[in-house]
Amino acid sequence: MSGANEIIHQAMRLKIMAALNAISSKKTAIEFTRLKALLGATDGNLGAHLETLEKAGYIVIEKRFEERKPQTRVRMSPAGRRAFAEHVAYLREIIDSAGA
Amino acid sequence: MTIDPNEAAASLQDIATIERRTHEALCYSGSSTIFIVWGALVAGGYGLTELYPRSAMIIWPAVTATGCAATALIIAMRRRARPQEVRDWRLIWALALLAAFGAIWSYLLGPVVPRPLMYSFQPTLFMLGIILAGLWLGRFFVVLGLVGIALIAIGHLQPEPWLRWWMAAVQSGTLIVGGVWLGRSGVSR
Repeated sequence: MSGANEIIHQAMRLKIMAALNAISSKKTAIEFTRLKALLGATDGNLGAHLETLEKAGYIVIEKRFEERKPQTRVRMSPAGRRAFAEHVAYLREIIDSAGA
Repeated sequence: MTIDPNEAAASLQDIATIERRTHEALCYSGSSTIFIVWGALVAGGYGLTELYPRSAMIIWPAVTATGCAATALIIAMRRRARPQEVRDWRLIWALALLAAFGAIWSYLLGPVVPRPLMYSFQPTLFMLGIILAGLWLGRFFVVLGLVGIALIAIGHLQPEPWLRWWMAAVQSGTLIVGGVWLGRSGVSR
């Protein structure tokens, strides 16, 4: 059994990773404001957790201008996708071993 | 770091909730263009019927066929752009069958059923399809379909020519406004 991923396991970061994982494509990014609405998070809270995930190499944050407006987009990195899959597998193993 | 089984179950539940919400938002943004296209086609159909009332039996099947072709094209383009996205083809086929059912009965009943009833039949069937799709795709579809049916029912009480104009405004308006809302609330990528 592999260990728990302490970075991903925090409640808000787990939700962020779940949302980015559900978007599926490797090249797919989601706007910061859409992600915020999806998770019901505040700007500051979401920003802080995204920074932690970016430092861990699990997500990529892209900043660009669209129609002269700054836009922040977030996508999951391949390392993040692997780490999330491993963490979910670990959570399932805990439940399975408790039921056995 | 140790995680007990209750905490693990709660985390998996959180993941499932967010995944469902994300898929719902993806579906909203994917459906937006389809709704706007249908809204524009319905508006065009009413406009042409107003100009050429004798050609209604040609105009509406043409509107339905164009709408179905446009829907298929949008789905195919989206599929090419995002091959990993999961689609429930049974639902798409069910909606296509419902549309075909309505079109055939409209064609057969058109000459014999009172006109105000025909103005309501096909659109309410279309809205029913949206409500049924909403049971799988998200609450907004259910609300949109119910609002559409309520507005059609109100319009049903209007005398001609208000009836036609009301139906044109309500049907195309519901679809276009709904489509714009879906685009805004969906996950744009």
